[in-house]
Amino acid sequence: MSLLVYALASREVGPLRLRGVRAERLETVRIGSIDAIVGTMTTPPRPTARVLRQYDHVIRALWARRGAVLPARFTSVMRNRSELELTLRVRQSTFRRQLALVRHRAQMTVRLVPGSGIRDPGSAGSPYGRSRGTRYLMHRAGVARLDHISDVGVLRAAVKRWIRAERADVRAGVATIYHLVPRTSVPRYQEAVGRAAAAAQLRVQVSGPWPAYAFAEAW
Amino acid sequence: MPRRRPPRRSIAERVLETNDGTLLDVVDNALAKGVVLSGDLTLALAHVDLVYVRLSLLLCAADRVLPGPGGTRRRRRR
Amino acid sequence: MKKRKSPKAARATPKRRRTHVVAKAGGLTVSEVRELRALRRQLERAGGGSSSPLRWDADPDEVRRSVARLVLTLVEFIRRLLERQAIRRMESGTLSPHQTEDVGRALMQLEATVREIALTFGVPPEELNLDLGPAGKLM
Repeated sequence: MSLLVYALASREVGPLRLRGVRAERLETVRIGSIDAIVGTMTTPPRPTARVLRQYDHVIRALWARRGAVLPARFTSVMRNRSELELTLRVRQSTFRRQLALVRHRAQMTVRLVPGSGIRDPGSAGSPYGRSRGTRYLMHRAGVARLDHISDVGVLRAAVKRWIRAERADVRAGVATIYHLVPRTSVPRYQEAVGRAAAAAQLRVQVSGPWPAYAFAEAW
Repeated sequence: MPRRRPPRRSIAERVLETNDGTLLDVVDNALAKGVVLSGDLTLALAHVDLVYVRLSLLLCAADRVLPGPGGTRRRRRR
Repeated sequence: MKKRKSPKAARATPKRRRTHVVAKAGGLTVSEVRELRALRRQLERAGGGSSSPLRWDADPDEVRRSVARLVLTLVEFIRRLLERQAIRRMESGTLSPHQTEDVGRALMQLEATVREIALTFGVPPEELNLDLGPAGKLM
């Protein structure tokens, strides 16, 4: 028997009446101010489309009941309760901080195929001269923010006031930006990004609100 | 006339499928995001599994975990 | 969540592959289908079709290259971690200007070193990414 961890959540009173992807009753494992929401099963489920949708559904149901939820990557399997408790205890201050970041906030995902393609971010300029280390670091910070893709800046500017945190990556020719915004701002965010995309004739796909998957950082 | 199979869903439909978000997002969120609590590693040679490693990862920013001048605490916005 | 109308326009078109905009909803247009599909395939591959753990399996005919790939991937993973933290510290003001300069230069050299070694062993940059099975891509 092993434990499938669905998410970490801020501790709250009251019983959890939820079922998991195998219709198993979900339980709460408490460490300090953090709850781990788990399901017991013999073998972990395979990541088919159907199971992943169910997983998302379970996370959302939890999200509807708790102010702060950090989804776990699929599949996060703990051999037993002690292993889970040890993991939580060792990393609890990190988890507490992450839970505080995502409390009452939602993730919006914006996918963009840059109109002019994805340019090479280039280098930090001349390798000589003073402060080249500083320039390199600043250049890398810009690359991480996708500064080299101008369409991203356009969208970001339109929703800046609601951004509480941002993550970004580029894969397979698609730039993805994740924004953590107050849950109550979601409709205004959607409207603003839609207007900005239309005005700049950008091809975007916006989805959300999601639980804060991209802000429940792996490391 | 031979009986036709029902047409396969178009690419667009498969990409846009879903009631609550695209499948792409569900896959991205669940498989490439989220807290990583542990990982397993198998080391093999010539397809012969020899070593199994269970990883309980602890990766923390040093300034948050090691003693030293603390980080700044910012006022929390909604 | 914004609901999207079904793309009637797409359905009307027969099996021929479409590569341009296929649907609009409000002010949003769906981007290139091809890229999204490619992205999804990449993610699904990262997730794996099974729950088997991460595997490193050295091919006896290519041990040298397998070892190089493993080592480089781990170093690249560490480099990205270090870079992310360095950027965070720089942006939050918890690095002195001197530290910023030193850390930046070290990262610059680390990146150059990884590139050089990869070149020496004939490992293309795209291969520097371990697949973590159900735990998702390492990076």
